[in-house]
Amino acid sequence: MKKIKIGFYNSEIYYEKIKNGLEVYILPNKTVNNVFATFTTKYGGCNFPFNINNKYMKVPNGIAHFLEHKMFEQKNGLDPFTFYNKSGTYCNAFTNYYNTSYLFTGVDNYKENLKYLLNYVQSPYFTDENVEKEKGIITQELKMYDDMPDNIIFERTIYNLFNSHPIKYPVGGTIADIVKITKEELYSCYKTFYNPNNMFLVITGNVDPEDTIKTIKENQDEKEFDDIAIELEKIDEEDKVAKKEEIIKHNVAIPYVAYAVKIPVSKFDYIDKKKRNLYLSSMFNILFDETSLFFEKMKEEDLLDTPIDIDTLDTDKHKVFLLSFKSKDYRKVIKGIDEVLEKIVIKEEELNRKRKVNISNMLYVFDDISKANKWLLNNKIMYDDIYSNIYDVLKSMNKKEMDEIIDNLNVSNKSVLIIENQDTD
Amino acid sequence: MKYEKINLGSYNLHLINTDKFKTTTISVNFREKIKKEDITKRKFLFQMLCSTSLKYNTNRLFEIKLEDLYSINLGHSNIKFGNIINSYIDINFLNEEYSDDNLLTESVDLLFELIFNPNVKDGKFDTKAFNQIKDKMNLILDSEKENIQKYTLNRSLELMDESDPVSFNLWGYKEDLDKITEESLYEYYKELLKTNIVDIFIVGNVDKDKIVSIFKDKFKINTIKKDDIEAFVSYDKCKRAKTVEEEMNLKQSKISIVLKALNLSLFERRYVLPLYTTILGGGGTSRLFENVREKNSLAYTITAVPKSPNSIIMIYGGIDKENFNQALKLIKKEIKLKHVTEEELENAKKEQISSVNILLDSPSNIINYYFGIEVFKADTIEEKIENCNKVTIKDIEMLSNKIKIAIVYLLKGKSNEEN
Repeated sequence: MKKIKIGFYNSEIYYEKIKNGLEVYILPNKTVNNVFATFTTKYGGCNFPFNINNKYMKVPNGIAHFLEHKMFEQKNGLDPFTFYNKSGTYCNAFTNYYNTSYLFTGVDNYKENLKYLLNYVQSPYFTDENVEKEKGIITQELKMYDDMPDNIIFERTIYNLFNSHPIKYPVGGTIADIVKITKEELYSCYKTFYNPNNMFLVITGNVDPEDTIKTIKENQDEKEFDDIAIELEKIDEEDKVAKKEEIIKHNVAIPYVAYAVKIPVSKFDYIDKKKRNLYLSSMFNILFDETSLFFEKMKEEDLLDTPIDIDTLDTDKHKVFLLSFKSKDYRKVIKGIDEVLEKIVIKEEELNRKRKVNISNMLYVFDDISKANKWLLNNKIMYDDIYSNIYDVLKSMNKKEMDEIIDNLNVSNKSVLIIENQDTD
Repeated sequence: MKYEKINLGSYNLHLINTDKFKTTTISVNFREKIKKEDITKRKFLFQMLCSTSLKYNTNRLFEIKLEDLYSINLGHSNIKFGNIINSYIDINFLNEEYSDDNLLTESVDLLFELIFNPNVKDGKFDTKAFNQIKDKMNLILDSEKENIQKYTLNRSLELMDESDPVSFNLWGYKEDLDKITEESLYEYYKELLKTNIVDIFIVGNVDKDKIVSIFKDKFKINTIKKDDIEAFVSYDKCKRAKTVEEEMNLKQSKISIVLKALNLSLFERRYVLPLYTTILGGGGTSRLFENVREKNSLAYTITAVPKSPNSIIMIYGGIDKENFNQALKLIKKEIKLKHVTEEELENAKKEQISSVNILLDSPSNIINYYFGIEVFKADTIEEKIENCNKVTIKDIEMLSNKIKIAIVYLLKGKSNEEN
């Protein structure tokens, strides 16, 4: 087992890649009672065609999320909810664009909980009947999201930004997609992407690392897995957006707007990806968050009343920043954002302040076992690494590199989504 | 971990000394008996206090100051429990070993600045800052329907008796917002400091003498208040269930059912009601989940949540409107909670005890725990576990006889444009 020290933060991560390819990250914290464990496959809603028997197979959108639901069905009748309920343990699962994660958190019965997590995620049981039943439940879930403007603004904007990249489509798919899903397709996806080679565990909290690894190895040694090489179809995504502007109607009080830019990242090859992302995020925060001159000006001109929400998303070739806000006079806000992005200026003191914020925020992360778990999981998914030198990376951020980023930045590909009140025409 | 309650005359300082965390948390709590007519200005006031101050007189300067203090977390909220409204302002900042030697002093100074040095001149709040908060509150009140689950739950509670505190909306009311002025808000601020009961919780590795002397020196409120609020709401009867249907442009209809628990003993309120609710609709093995979702595929979300201080349980679900009667019938049947098994009860107890066992795991949990002891004379962790284990199936059955449906609220989706 390897020990990875996280410099400055006084944290130590235990890492091991076991025989069948499964990677394990453990961050012990003996000052709390609780344990937080996630078991993740690097497979999510981003639905790339994948190679099966020398042919690319395209399955319906939403299948990763459907699979997540179906893993809770177990042949012997003891499902995860029932199992974890017996020890007062909370269990759940979630699907993002690039991963599906199964989690439990609880104080008691840790070793059994861990073994059960491995066991249920590694024993699929799909029947025509239980697949049909799930369609009704997921239909209700998708309708629930359709009633949430916060969700629509995000999904629809991503749809308008991308042309052929599968990230274009919502993680859960549409109702029309999911009703087509079959048991056979679920098994194909499962066999390809739920191979230990494509999965990892992150455990944070009051656990003993040696004992944990031993438990995992014993459990995995009893099981056999096929050798599977995952091959996804390469998809070429253009820089230009699919749709520059769209106005839709929904249940909103005043217009709710997303301003999104699709930044090509090829020009940033010279810099580490994580560091690049830190610069870009710091930049967008400096320009548009509550400490920005822009937001202050918008408030003074009565154009904005609540802060701009800043969200981001990555693909291999692009980084997206999505600014969402509510404004009656949104054209003026859009124009204002255009102007700021046309001539980006970041002051040294602003960058220094954000650097301090980033360094500090990592401490808040390490102080909380669920946040720490999420941080490790996301690092693994985004960078296939956990950035143990995060402090040094943050510490080394400087104005010169920031300016270089700005010089190479292309923010000309944008898409704007406007949600207007459905009762006004 | 060491707990100490220090009486500083007009308020209590609850010091929880621990080296568990890399941060220190200070939470200042103001509470009083909830009054519907004051809710809007109370919300307004705390928004105001936590966005500018006399020294940091624009929101931008204020936010920059927060970042300069090593990204200090500032939080504030109004919460109601039974007859009580509690408003807190809390700060959570890094320990000095990760920042600099003055961070404790500077952070506490900021906290005092925003409580005692508000953005006020000539007896009124600064007009520009005041209007910005007013606009923000107006927008939030106008946008309530955008969070449809919250809206549905609030709407069903509003249908309760209008003098019942459970029906009050914590974001306030548009008609009250219109009446608030820079002057009246400042008057309310002064009144709040004079009349509210104040408790301060500090969680972290801090030097007792140092922190006590800082508070004695700088946190000065000089009135003595008597804590005589009857915290819990009790019901001895329930009128016939009120059923209300409303329409909105939604893909999915939402259902919310408010249950009243009559004549609760203290033991039932604290231990039986939460267990009853867990078995009914607490998670992936609950009766509602099993019957409404898994067996009949009628819903994705179907849950029950207790509000023990209010003697209330709320059931919420998202369904298709044509399934409303079927869902309601299933829910009504399960509310009776017939034939509870030993296993169901044991599992529900495990879940409750599990949440008790993490009460000391985070600063916010620790504060909630000691707040409960201070305000509700709540049991200690050991007592909570012991008492929870005492609950029998008979207790659950007796409680289920006291459960009455007060409100059935259906928010119907107008369009059913699926597929």
